Amino acid sequence: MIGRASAWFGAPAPAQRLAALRIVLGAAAWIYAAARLVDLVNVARLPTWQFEPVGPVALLAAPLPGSLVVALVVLTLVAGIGFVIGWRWRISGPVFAVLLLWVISYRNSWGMTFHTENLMVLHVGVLAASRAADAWSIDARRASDDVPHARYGAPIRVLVVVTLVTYFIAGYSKIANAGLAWITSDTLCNYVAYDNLRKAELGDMHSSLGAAMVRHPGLFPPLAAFSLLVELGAPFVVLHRRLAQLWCAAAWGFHIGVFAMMWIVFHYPMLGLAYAPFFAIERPLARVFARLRSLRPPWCGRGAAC
Amino acid sequence: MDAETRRWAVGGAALVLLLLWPLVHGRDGFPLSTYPMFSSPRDTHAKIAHVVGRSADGSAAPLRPALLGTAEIMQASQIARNAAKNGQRAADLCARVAARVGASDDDANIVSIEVRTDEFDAIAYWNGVRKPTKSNVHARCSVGGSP
Repeated sequence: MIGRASAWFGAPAPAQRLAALRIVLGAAAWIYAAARLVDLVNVARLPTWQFEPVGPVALLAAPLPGSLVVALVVLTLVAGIGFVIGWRWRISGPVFAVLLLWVISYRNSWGMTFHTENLMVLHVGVLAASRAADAWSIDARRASDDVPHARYGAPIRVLVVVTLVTYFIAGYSKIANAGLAWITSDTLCNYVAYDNLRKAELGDMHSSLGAAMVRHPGLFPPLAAFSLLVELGAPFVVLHRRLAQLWCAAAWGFHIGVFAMMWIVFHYPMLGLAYAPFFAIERPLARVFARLRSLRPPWCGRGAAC
Repeated sequence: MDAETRRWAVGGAALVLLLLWPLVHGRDGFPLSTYPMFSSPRDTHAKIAHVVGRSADGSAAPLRPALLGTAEIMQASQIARNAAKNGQRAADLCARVAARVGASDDDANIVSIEVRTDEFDAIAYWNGVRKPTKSNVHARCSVGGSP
């Protein structure tokens, strides 16, 4: 078992796979931060009594000045560009990871922790510590490593393990807090009813499907069993590539179900980003790059230099 | 396994232990979390703290999160919940929301604001019983000096 785990962990991977994860997951995190720019900045205007620091922000005794909050968000976006394009990686990688952790934690320090963001921040942190800019980057534009190597595979396995462990923790918490009654009781039905009610009474959109399903409580125990199977079963798929990919499909389906029933968007798994480390995502990305290279400007072929 | 891969194995194992640590001390945080959402037993009772706008005809409707100073519905919920715990905070929130409503052309029909907690039976709610079983108004204020 140990030998098999060691072989799995030390299996070589091409530098392009790790680079593809840097580009895709880094760009997703950057877009997320940019799309949440107003939210990330607006917390500076909230009254001090709402400040409940989480994560690294717990180091602070009081909120930061508003101008510093804005400056850190802007710096995050600037560092994020360096992260995605792989420019001065040894600086831009860790700086983006640390700043992203900080600004997201700071936004979560005002009474509401968004559990949809944990995995994104963790993945960016792991990538920042890796050689994710050894290919397909500004730093590697002159020389890129084309030989698959364990030093590119190992960080990818860590990304996979981090994904699986976060699901396991979610499942474990359900069993620890409610026991197997979480499956057999009306707990899930009541959650769906409560969450949609809360949205309706807070002036937000709610799921009509979830509201309708609540009238048929018998539908929920199988769904509860499926979600616990996905969560608690996560660590057991780690050594089987096909099983792991099947698990990804099941976990993705689980999030689609959550969205359909409760209108909760877990953007990171729903877009497949949480599961990207399980796949050879450099292949489709290489095809995209090849396609982009083949697109010649309109003036080419008319005697102009291209 | 070369030295760098071994370092990743050790670092990865340490990261897993770190991720599991919140399960030991039982406190949720970020990015290390117990992922507590939907994990506790829940009955049908729903207690919702929210901010409601009342029109001149007496009808009431929950206000959108932007009027509470956030784009996020869950953050708006938390803001209202925190305010409901303290009369002065509820009054402050009421005044801030009233100022935003007063400055918004889209909300010209709203004449007063209430920071309130309403209780419902969640299952009955989706079977048509929308009236709260219990209500508690923490703060009430008018918009732009309207009565």
